[in-house]
Amino acid sequence: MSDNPRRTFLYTMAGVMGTAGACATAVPFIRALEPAADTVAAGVTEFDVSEVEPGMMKTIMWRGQPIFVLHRTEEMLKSLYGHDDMLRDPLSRAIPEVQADWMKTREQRITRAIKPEYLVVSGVCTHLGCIPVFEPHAGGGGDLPKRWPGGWHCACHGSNYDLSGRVFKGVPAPYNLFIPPYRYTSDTTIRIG
Amino acid sequence: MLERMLNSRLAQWLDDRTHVVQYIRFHLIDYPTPKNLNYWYAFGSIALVVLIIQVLSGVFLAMDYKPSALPTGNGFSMAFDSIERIMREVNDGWLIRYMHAVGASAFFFVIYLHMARGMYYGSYKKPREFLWIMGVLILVIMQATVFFGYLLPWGQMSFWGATVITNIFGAIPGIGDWLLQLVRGGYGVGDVTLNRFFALHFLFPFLLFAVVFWHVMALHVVHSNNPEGIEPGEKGIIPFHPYYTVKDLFGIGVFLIVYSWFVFFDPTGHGLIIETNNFNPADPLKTPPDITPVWYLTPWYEILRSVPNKLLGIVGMAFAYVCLFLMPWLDRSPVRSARYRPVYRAMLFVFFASIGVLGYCGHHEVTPELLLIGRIASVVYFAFFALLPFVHKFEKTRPVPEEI
Repeated sequence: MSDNPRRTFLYTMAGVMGTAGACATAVPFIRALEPAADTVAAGVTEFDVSEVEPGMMKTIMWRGQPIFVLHRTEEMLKSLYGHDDMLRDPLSRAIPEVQADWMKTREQRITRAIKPEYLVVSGVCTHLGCIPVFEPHAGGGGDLPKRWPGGWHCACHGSNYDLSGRVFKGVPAPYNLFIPPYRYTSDTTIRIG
Repeated sequence: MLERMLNSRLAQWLDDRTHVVQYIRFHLIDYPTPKNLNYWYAFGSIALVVLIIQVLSGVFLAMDYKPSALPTGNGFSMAFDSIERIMREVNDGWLIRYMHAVGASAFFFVIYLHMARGMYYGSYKKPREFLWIMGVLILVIMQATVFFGYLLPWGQMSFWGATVITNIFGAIPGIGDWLLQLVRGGYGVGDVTLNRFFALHFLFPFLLFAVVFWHVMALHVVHSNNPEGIEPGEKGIIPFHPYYTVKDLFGIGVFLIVYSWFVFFDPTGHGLIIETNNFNPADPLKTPPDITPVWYLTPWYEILRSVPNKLLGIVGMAFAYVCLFLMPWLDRSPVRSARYRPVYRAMLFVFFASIGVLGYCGHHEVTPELLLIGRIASVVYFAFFALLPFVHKFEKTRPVPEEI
């Protein structure tokens, strides 16, 4: 049967066209699995950072995930210096997600905030997605390293971040906590997304 | 190329462990088929394709559908809103929903033609009685599935259609009220009903697959009938592949063109595929002026409506199905195909016409004229089955050929 070239050609063409049709049909089904238009549109959250008292942290929701807003005191901002040797990526250069357009100076790459006193970072551990626990007080012990400048500790797999959300060396998490896209729409109001 | 694939080492390795190659050869390649099957015989394969379309699109709809009648902020319900979300927000959700809605109508269209072919060529007769029974069972399961499915959008026609049809159970003497509450899970059609209908709408296709599988297994034991209605001799047999694989694929291609035209250009079928009133959210306090089932259920609904007694109407509708199940034993003529049975052939066309008339009447508001026409059509429907056992006594059949 297949020694007839015309028949072989027709079978091949029909097979190729059928496969192409099946692939084209798969496109809308795969697209339907992607986030829907309303899910994408719901990705904007506004927040008044003046709600957060100095030294306190508040967790807000953005796209169904936690965002840490930390009001850093002078003392906390000072604690960001002096432990670069313990950090994996002290100047936040590893991947785009840990940086932002407004990070222009070395200072901003350390404080990782538009206004240094208000840190806004994703509250999702860059290892496997747990929410790290806020451990603001310096001095280690327990699960924390001995030289602890204050920061976040992820109980799931033991990753540590400082008060700028910068990841420590020797822990499973690969990156600093991500910076969500945000800007100030007034003196104290931020708009995330 | 197919031979090379089936003889490959991988195929042989699998065959030694599962007989998969032997199954493929037996059921899809060497399977003996009469050489004179026409395109009416493609509807079985087409129906299988539609079933796959329905399962595929249905699973994707279930990922975004919410079976809840709880009210939402905009005054609708979670179910109604989730359908609108599928239509407006989910990527290509409109396409998948219309594939499913048009697919339901296409399924019945194809199955009715498939059954008409079986009746015309006498495919229900010995030794294919069980094949026919499985087929009618498939129709019943399909109608149950589509009934459960039609409630899900929670529109006006969903709600009132389900209210009317579930009330049928309430008419059964003795256990009616208990049965009615059992089906609805409450005193009326409500949130609980919607939730369980969704579960059943998901379950029934599994039953459908099981019975379809049995239907095909039965076919592959007794083999296809053919337009001449005689058992083919050795010279009348050809292998399934390539003759009917190619012929069925061509039929499927033509079907998909028509199907796609509806999906893209007329998905509501001018109110036939998705009834216009179902775009209004369900309102338990307001019955729409005209409650009609979707077109594929209307002939049976019209039989129910034609009888001026609640219980007897339901008995009549049930009896319409019983007649179909009994068809292999009601017809006693030794000749199968209507090609050689002039009386049966004429009766069959009148019967098909009666179903068409019943369907038309059932889809329109009751008027005295339509009621009368519907009653006449109901009588014709049952007269067909009542006459069937006696036709062979006076019918002068034409001589059947020796060989196909």
